[in-house]
Amino acid sequence: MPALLESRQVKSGETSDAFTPEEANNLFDATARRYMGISGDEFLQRWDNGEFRDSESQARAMRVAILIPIVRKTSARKKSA
Amino acid sequence: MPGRNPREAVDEYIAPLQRSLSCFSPGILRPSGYDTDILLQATFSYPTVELMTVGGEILHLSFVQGFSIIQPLFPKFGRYKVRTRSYIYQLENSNHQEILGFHWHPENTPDIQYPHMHIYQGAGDNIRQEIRNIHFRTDRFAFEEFCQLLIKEFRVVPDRDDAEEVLSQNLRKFQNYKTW
Repeated sequence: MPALLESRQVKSGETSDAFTPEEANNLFDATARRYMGISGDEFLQRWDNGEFRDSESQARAMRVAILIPIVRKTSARKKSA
Repeated sequence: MPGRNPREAVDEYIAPLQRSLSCFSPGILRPSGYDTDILLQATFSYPTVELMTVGGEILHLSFVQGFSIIQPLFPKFGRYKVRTRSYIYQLENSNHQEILGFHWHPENTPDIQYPHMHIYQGAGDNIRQEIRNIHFRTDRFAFEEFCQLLIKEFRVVPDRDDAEEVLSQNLRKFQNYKTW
């Protein structure tokens, strides 16, 4: 493995910090743009309106929707599987 | 993987995933927080990380696991635990077209509660739309199983000599720890 890549690895016992709100927003926006071609804000608005639930778009949309709790606090007290 | 506090529980949960990932990528998994009452995610800082195959092809890996932290009944004496709530592991080609993905997201899709696999357009030019729409039912799919599939079937180049051993060890740990 190239030394540069190796140096970026998390070493044993080392932990990585949680996303800041700004980093979380940037990641969500980048993910929405990558998979759905729209901004994170537009995705949230359209998802809330019930869009992207059809079988043709659901699989791609889910890659973005799974990240919604990263930008919008969601209770963990729903039923857990 | 319990911890004395939420942070330790999350670190213990991410550590084996990170070690499995290190078998073929320097990507770093990060949590979205340490709160005990909300849904959290572990993922990369970017939508995907790069992989390389033996043949020199660039592929991309997408990873998200949703989880929650369970408080012990008696925080002073008990241990905090992490419960997986969802996952998406996907492989994409060099143009970021998805090839295949293993999903489980019961809280987002009440009608599809089971783990499943998708085949996407990146798997071939003539994949029928009906095939791309199907949620192929699977068992709960460990990240380590996905890693093994990447190395064995897609010929992704391992970054460490002990990749096979690391993945087998972590898969055994996962199988011992999982509750379903």
